[in-house]
Amino acid sequence: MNIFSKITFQSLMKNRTRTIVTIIGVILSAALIAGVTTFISSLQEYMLRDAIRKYGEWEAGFSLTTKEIYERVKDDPAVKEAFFIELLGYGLLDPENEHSMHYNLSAYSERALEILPITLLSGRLPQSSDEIVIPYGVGGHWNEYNVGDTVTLEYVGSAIYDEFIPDNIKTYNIVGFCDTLWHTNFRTFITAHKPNQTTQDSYGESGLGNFIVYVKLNNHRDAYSFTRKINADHFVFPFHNTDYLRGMGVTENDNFQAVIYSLGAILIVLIMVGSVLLIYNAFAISVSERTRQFGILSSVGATGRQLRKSVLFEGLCVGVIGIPIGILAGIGGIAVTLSVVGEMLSVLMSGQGEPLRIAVSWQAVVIAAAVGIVTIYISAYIPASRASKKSAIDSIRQSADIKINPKKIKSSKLFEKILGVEGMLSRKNFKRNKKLYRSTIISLFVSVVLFVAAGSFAMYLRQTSETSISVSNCDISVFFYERADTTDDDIIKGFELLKNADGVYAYGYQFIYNTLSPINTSLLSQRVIEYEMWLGDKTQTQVPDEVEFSIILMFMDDASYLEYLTQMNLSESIYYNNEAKSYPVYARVIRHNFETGRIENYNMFITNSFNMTLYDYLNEDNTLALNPGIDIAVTIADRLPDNIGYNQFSQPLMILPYSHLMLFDFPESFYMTECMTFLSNDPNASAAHIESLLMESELPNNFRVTNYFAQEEANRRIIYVVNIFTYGFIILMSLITVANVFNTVTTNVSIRRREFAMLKSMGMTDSGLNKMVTYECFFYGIKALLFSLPVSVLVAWLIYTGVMQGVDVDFMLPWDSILIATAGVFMIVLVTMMYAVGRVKKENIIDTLRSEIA
Amino acid sequence: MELLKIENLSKIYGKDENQVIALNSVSLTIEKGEFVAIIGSSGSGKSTLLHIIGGVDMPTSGHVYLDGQDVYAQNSDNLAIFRRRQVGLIYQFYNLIPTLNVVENITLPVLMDKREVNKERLEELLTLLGLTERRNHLPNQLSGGQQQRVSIGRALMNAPSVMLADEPTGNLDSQNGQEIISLLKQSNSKYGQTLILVTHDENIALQANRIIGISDGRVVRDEKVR
Repeated sequence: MNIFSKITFQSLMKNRTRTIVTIIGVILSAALIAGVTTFISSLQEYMLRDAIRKYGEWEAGFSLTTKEIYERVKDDPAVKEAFFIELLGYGLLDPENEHSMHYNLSAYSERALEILPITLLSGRLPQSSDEIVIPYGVGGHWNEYNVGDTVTLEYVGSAIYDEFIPDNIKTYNIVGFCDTLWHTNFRTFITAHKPNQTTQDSYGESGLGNFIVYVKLNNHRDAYSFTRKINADHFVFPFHNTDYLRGMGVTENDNFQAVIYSLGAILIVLIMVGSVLLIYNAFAISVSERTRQFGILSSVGATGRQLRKSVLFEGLCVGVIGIPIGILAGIGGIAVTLSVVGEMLSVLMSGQGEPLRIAVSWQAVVIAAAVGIVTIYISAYIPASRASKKSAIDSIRQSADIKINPKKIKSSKLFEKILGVEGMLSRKNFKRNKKLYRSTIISLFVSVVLFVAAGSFAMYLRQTSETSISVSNCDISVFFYERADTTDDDIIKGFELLKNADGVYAYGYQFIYNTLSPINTSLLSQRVIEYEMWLGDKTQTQVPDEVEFSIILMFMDDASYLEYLTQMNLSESIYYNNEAKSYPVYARVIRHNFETGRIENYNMFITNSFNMTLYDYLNEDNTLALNPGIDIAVTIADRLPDNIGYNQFSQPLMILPYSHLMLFDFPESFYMTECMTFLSNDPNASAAHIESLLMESELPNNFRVTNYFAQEEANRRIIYVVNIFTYGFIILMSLITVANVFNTVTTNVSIRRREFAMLKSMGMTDSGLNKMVTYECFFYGIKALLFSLPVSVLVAWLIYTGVMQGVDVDFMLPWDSILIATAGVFMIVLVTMMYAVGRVKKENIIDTLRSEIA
Repeated sequence: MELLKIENLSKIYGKDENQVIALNSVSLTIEKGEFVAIIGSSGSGKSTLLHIIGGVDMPTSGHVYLDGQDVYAQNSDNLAIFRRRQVGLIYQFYNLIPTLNVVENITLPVLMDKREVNKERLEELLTLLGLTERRNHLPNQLSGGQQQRVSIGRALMNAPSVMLADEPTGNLDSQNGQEIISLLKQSNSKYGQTLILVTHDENIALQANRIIGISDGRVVRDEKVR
């Protein structure tokens, strides 16, 4: 170790706390980067594994082709090997029913049986052309066969037929049953291809054939060019094992891959910004503390290059410890995360299958290490070169480090009046140390923006998944599907029985009827009119005076109805009045816009109250069922009752009490459905209890119990997984910020130790000192928030406009995230400042004053 | 009239073999209005004595009474207030607050006491110190002598009963040094403030009313000069 390294090493040891925090920063950023790269490589490995499991290892193929093509590609120099399936014919799954679905009878070549994945549930693969394997999932009477049985298949030997008349009969031995097939039609009966079997080229002169040819190439990368080449010479239908190729990193115009990589790149850039800020800052502090040392060294003849090298050596020390630990921690972190959520993720991505597990690739490690090294290098080089450019005597005097411009540190008299001398001092310090604190403020800024962005992203995710998936706002619903066998009394009797089920704390029932009403277009919002115009006759350009709408009438049990009136502040004397015929209508509709593909969510009406006339529906004898119509005074309600069976309507919903149903005397044809709804503390237990109560009762057996709570479990799971990743990321990023703030604040305070001692020697009390420091923290916090909150709101708004492309959502500020971020900023700054000052406070005044003079 | 009483004051740094005895059972009394010079070679313990009198260092044992009050029997907040109101400290290295201008530095003890600044006294001090023209300057815009004058102004602002000066001229050339001593003497005679000055410069010491010699942490000489 030369003398420079020795000095550097000693100064690292002397500032142990800062060195450790810097190393922690390096560990965190290396861990984050390794985490991102490893996650990407795990995802890629999973996709490859899943592709091999489902489709097998091959690159491309040709369907509806002939044996000639097989012979042609088999000998192509690019091809490692080729194999094929011959489609022997089609039969009916249910021979008794000519409308039943077809099965394919396919003969697999020997290699096809080996390479294409066929997961046997029992038995073995076919070895001759009289043996077959049947997929278990085809159902019907096929599942009643056993391995060893024989079956006689009647099938049509050609896909082109006028009438489905089987022209082939053959008896097969069933040698096995297999799981769902992914590589081909899942209703395929598999037999072995007989060597030298003469093929029937069923499709005549079209050039098409009954062969599916698969190829394994010498080089994955040739997949797309190979099929293009064959396609140019022959009339073929090429296909590719896209998922497999994607897993191998071979893609053509693949957005998916691009999205994953660019997302990874964005994350890595964010992490780099955060960690460069931290590490750069740490080195800048160390260099400025060592400025004197550098001055002395250069006055005895050290060259700029030697000084730079000594800083880079410092970087090397930090990196050698930090990067390997960081990479291991990142890989370990992803391994732990995937062991928890890996299975859930794979279910989300492919519906089933093996869990997503950790896969470390050398590329992932190299990228993480390289990014870490570059980060440290940049961070160490800039302050080092700045320090080495200073003249020796300037460095010894440290004159450039303390430059104060009187104009810049002016503080207003008002400050002094309100906050006292402590306020004035802190204000001046804040203004003086702008540069020192810049990186603190920037890293706080980055963290706050990321945090709020993640918060608003999660919020919209929750909101949109509610709009698009959740269809009910009750936990459990019960309805009877064969209405003819059930009377209203049955339902009410059932309701009385079920409302006492375990865990149920709220209950209600709803009978739903459907009518029509003409609505004057002047009452409708513009979006409804546009939608109706688009739906209607395109040649008509004039907006009609009236549009006819279905009106859904929901008769709720009276108790729930009255509770709803109270919630909505609606008077019982008007809305629960037999004479008045006045009811609330909820008209916030959710509609899928077929033109744009967006899911829209808006209020249909622009007025709050109006009259409508329910009429409609022709009876079977062609007379109007309601004539004249029923006039109803409507008031618009902006929310639905709690605990009802359906919460998404594309038509206006009128809410009425069940006791008023008889006032209407609707014909049977108006009736749509009914249901009982329950909210429960333990929905799963309640649903089971409800089911058993119904079974034991004398009520008709045609009920269906739906546990919406359980159904939405999947939905909650997606949010859960996304939250784990976003918040995991954000927390680690915030830790980098904390480390950064810690380093800057403690250094800043220790640079000012003498100043604090002076103030104390002149009679500043400890509480005065605390006050001054608190004010200073407050300024930093305010400054960081001043920049970051507006930007966060902007980012939240950008996310909102992004989400609006697909779904109507309301713009909302993620207040909880904003509050947490705001509190967090002040907390972090204050806690570290207090820590740093606490250490200074313990020191003897005169020791401090004396120590730094020397 | 007795202003300051020091009883068996000891200050020991370090432990066991590394023990350094800076002050060894020093006892002294100082009258109100006296100008005392403490002399001794470096490491004799003279600065330590001054700092303990000023309430910025802690004695290992012994007591300091100012106006009959035991200085180190107070809690740290009261000790801070004591420093603010009763003592004016002047250091060799001025110890000004770099972000505050001349006026702000001088008035800092008053501001910390949350009192109104006495404008007349401030003007008087600025004139006395010859800083009227430089009142809005920051410390780094002043020469060494000017900075030391600011620190004297700061010490005088609150009209403390004791002025403690720790080698106030140690960092100045002889002309500037003499000016500072004159200023201190002036305030001693004009305002009747007790002045205790640490120096190793015999010439300066000879201007005092009383000279106390310290060596190896003990008082070895205590003489009234005039």
